[in-house]
Amino acid sequence: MPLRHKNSTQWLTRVALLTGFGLALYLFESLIPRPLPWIKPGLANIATIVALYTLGPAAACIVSMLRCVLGSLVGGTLMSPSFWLSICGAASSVTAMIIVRRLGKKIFSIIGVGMIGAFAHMLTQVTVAGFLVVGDEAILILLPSMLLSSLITGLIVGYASHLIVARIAPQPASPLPVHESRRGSDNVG
Amino acid sequence: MTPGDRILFFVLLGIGLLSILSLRLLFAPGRTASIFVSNRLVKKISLGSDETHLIHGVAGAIELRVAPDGIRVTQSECPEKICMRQGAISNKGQIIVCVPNQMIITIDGEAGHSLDAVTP
Repeated sequence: MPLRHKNSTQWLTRVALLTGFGLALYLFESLIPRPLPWIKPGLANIATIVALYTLGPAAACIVSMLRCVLGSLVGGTLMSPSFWLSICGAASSVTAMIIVRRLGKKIFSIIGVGMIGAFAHMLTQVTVAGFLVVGDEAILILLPSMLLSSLITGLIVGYASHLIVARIAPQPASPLPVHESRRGSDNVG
Repeated sequence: MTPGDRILFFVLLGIGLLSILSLRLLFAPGRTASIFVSNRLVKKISLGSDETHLIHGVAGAIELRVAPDGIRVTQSECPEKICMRQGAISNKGQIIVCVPNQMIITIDGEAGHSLDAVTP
């Protein structure tokens, strides 16, 4: 059941927990060796999507922004170009996901929202990096690999978020069925 | 996965594949080479061909070879043969210069974009 009472302690606690969850995922994925440095799985977006589906748009914004600031603080890139890239990407990603979720409730499931989030994040980062940080449109050469990889990671992140949301908010948050094995174990227990 | 998700997936996949195609066109290798001697255009050579050209420079004759990997100087009557050692060029903005012959070969098109290092 989505919690919408912003003053409740439970809401605050859940936002804090999801922020911590996002931060942990962010730091975890920065440890994974990557074949191409500009391609990231974007696992931290799972926390944002879960916040969006269980706590609402305001919580999603807080979780995403706070995760960016804390992540770069821990990673030592606060106020550097990569911090601005990261925060611009996160802001556009969370905005796109809120809009798609609100307007496309009947059309897209949580997986579609995840794909849109990854896509918006990638597109914003290429644009900002190309025209503000690097100052050369040659960065467009990265676009195809980033587009296609963001599609795959968005799909995975969306599905992972679906699995989590299906467990912590059993209300129909998405048209996808709850995992069968989980139901079975509930009956046994 | 709703049908909407599937459509979204294929639309984004299409955009991705389209961007590969459009970048191919945008960053395509040059099509023609221009040969200048003493700042005058003496010849335009299509890079698609496979042939040998003879140019008369200030210091003597220059033999150019056009091959699939680009255009190169194969023979030159100049003392240092630096132009020969520059190898083949094929991308927009690349040049071969032979100073004694006052000859410049350029690949036509806008200055080429090549990435040195990118750290996003």
